[in-house]
Amino acid sequence: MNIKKNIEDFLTDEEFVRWVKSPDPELDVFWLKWLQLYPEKREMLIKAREIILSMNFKTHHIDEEIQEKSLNTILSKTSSVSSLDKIEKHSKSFVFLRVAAILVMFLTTTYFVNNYVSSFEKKSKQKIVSNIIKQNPNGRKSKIQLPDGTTVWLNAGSTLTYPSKFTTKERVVNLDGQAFFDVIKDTLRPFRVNSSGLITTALGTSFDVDAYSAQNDEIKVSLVSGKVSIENKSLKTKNTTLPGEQLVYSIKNQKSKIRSFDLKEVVAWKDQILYFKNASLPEVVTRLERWYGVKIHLKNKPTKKWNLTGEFKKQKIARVLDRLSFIENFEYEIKGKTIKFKF
Amino acid sequence: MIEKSSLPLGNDQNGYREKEKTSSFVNMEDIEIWKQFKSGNESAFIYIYKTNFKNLYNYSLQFSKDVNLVEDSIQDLFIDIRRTRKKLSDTTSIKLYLYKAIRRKVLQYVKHSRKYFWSGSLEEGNNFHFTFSYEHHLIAKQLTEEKIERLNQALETLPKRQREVIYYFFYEQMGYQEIKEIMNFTNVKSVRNKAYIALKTLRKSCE
Repeated sequence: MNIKKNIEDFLTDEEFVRWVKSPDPELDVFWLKWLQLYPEKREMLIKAREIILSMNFKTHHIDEEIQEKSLNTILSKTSSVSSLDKIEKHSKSFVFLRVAAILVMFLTTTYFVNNYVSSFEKKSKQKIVSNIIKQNPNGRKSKIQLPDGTTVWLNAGSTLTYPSKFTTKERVVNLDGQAFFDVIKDTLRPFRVNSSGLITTALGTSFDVDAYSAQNDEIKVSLVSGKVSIENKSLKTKNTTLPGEQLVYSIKNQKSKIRSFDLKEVVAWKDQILYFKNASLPEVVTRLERWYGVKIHLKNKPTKKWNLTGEFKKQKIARVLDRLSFIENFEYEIKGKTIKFKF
Repeated sequence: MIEKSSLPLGNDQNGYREKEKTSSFVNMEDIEIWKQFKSGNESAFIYIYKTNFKNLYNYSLQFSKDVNLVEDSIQDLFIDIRRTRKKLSDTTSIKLYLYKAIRRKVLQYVKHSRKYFWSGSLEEGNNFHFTFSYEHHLIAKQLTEEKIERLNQALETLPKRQREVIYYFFYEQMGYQEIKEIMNFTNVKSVRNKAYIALKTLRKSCE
């Protein structure tokens, strides 16, 4: 390694780089001796050294706060060693409990913005230092970690607002759109999701809230297992749903009914599955626009009503459209983010 | 390699484990810290976390500028190693172990989100970009401002994989063996060749 013909022979020498970057007395001795042996290489050595010292690698300043927050999340998710061992032993029942604790809530609202929302917000704002707003445009989904360690999957075209620090009494977040919550258990501080005035309260469970301000005037709350209460203070209603049940609230006639529901239909999005069940053309268009962040235009009308069922896991839009156009018999054209369906 | 017994640290070895169980990781060999962590020592875990978090963060940003993705990857990595700590293999370099793991994880998450977010809204990473700057404190001044400029132009032409090698070698100060392991090269010689080609391009630009 001591024969140095070119600058790159210096630059690729591990010991030389170590000497330039973090010198120590032993390395100093070595390279000074080396120079005595090969004095004609002096200029080359200096230049190689300067090249190394002139290199600037971009480093980002990282807040201590991020480091601390991440550590809290890691520790709260894995807890202490002794309880970890327990989990390992009973891993099967642990998984079962997690699955059983899934709570699904489905809401769709339009003119359902009421006084309660603002009064509720005022109440909670008094204690909040600052609000964090996470907004996903169409075509983008994200996973968010809340200050208490709760994980939130936020769907496309959705906004989640939460305080930088939760109060000691309750954990309140606001949602416009759809999100799946995996709530860290804290019996002393109930977790509340406020979406267009409807409050879902859970103590530690996973559930999905779908509250896109869409065309529908129905609010649906679906529960797989566990227990949750759904409140609407302006209409003075409070319901507790049972596992396997879905509460459907109609804003028009202000009545609610309870029925069963399809779990997959509600939570598939979180697992990257675009899932349609007996979907109409307008529903498919809305869902595609939101999922892929595109704009869809229709040319002419289909000859028959769509009643589409199917699922697409992690598919590019072209693949989805290939299949749709084959099933429903139409042609499509993609230009950037604009898509035309020709019937 | 320097023999352990020749280091002045040797004398303390028996005493400190008893006295300062929690705070002496600085003087401990990686293999020992890692073993302590595996056996359930929480302060060993905190030490590993705190000494590596920022490096892992900066490193992950090379692959993706999406800070949510980066933070998730790092959290998931540490959650993974905590959950499986008993089954982890031994390592003489914790940094290398974590770098290998986070590289796999971040690339997997990036690939995953690319497939998933068709819109391509995800930003690219820093891609091991670096620059040369004129250093006034260098006495000999072989490199003039003009030569620095030419070096920077030559940098732009370097393929990403060559820049990645340069990054580990000069920024992280890793050896060829470590780079080989991280980037899955077949042998040390091919890592050195990669570095050599990249540096030759740079050197020629500032002749």
